[in-house]
Amino acid sequence: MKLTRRQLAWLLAGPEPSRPQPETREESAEQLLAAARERLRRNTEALAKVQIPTATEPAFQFRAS
Amino acid sequence: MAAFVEDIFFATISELNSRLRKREFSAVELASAFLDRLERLGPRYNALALSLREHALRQARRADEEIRRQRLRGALQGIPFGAKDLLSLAGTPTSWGARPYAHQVLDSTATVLRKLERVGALLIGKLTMIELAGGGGYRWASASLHGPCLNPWDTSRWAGGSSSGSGAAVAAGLVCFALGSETWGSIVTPAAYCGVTGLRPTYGLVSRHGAMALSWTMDKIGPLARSAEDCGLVLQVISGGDAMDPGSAGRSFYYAPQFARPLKELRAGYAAVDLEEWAEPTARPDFLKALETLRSLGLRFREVRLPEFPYSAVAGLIIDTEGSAAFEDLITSGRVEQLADARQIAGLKAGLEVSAKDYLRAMRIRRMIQQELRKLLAEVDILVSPARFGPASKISEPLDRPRSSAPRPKDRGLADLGAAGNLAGLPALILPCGFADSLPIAIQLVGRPFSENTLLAVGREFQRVTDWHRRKPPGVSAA
Repeated sequence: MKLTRRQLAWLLAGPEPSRPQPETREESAEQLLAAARERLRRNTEALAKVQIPTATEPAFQFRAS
Repeated sequence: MAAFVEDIFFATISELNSRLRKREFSAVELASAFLDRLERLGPRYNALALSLREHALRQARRADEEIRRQRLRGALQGIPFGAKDLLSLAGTPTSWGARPYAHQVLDSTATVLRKLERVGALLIGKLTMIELAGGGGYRWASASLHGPCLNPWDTSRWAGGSSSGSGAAVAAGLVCFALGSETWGSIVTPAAYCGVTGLRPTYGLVSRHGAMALSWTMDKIGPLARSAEDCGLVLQVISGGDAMDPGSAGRSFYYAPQFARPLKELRAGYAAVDLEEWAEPTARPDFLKALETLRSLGLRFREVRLPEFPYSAVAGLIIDTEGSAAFEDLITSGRVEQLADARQIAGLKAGLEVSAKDYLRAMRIRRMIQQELRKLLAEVDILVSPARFGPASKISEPLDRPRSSAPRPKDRGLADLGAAGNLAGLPALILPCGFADSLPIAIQLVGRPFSENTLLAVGREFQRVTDWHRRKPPGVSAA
């Protein structure tokens, strides 16, 4: 039986009665990563549609103490 | 040992503190009773990460001694509470709900826990949470070191996340109040699903020093409790400037709802489409009644809309980027594979690939969102909407499963208020307001930055004329 990297990590982590079982999933790790990248791409695409005035500064701040 | 009746476990902070001062029972007796209950019932809901019996009893003995000597430290003295397991208590395990950190012991205590200890509140346990507060985006309620946190109202349902144990423990009467944290929905959701009152403070009002960082620019810590008043009492203690938190606003909060503007002077914004189309059909009657109640208390309502922005995309990109940066070592070392939720693992990995350009773009749009919301909140004092559009989801179902086969309404109303409010750092108060399918539902009040007293004054009045916040899950009493 070929184990994925994640399944192997679970097995190596050793038994622990209370730990949750890894979910049974239909998608492989590669498919899930591709889906996550696609989600980010869609978010980036949505952001690209917003017109931002040149003078708009990012919304974080750093205060020297 | 005093004989405790069930109602003690569902009493408010003021009620318990008053009885402690009258010496009806001691702080040690009260803490012991809550500890017994927490240790017995906490595991039933997967809500307990760590019991702190010895620590709590030591603190309780000190509280008793101080009460005896009339060294009174305020309403929280002698009150048992729990904390989400992302807050560190020096020398004890802090798991962040995640297997890779299951045995992590940090050497400092979170500022909020130190502040609560200083006024005599008793930390009796650490409460479970979604692993890494959900960073990367999880698909299942079981995305936690401790398994899916079960809802005390119906154990086939989820307690909400990521402050899952905090919501469940307050609802089941295992603690008098709990601390949770919110980056995007992590106080709002468990408070709404578990039928307890929750307060998400203004960004920067409460120190995050000693808390796990998921998103430096969006993380907030706040209480889940039995009432708006209890949330105010806790916030008064945990707020305040902290040089150890770079995001600290350097401001304090004094709970003084009596000095808030009268409700009849307040203008409230709402969107009818939230109640009539976005809300699940079984939840609509009680949402409508809640707004009617607020109207009867004097609030003047008008229809509003959020300004047009891709709120979820902005919030998602910022949290993905900051969360993956915060956990870069975990991801690149491969230990991320030990997390329970496969989608979360993938999300954390992908988040490392976001470009600086896209992150900055998101943060610039965020600035525009802040400015536009400021304008909206100049027209109205508070925004009112369902905290979640329906009751708790089933444990057995993926969280991204559509709740309804009906097409999404075209008018977004205030549907994006969760993302918008968190992006702008706005405070929110979550008030239980009824039931749908025998499960709690709640409304949220969102206000201007640092307007917590206004929100709490409205919440206190709402809870004076309703009793949703006093309801107890069936079966919990006899449990």
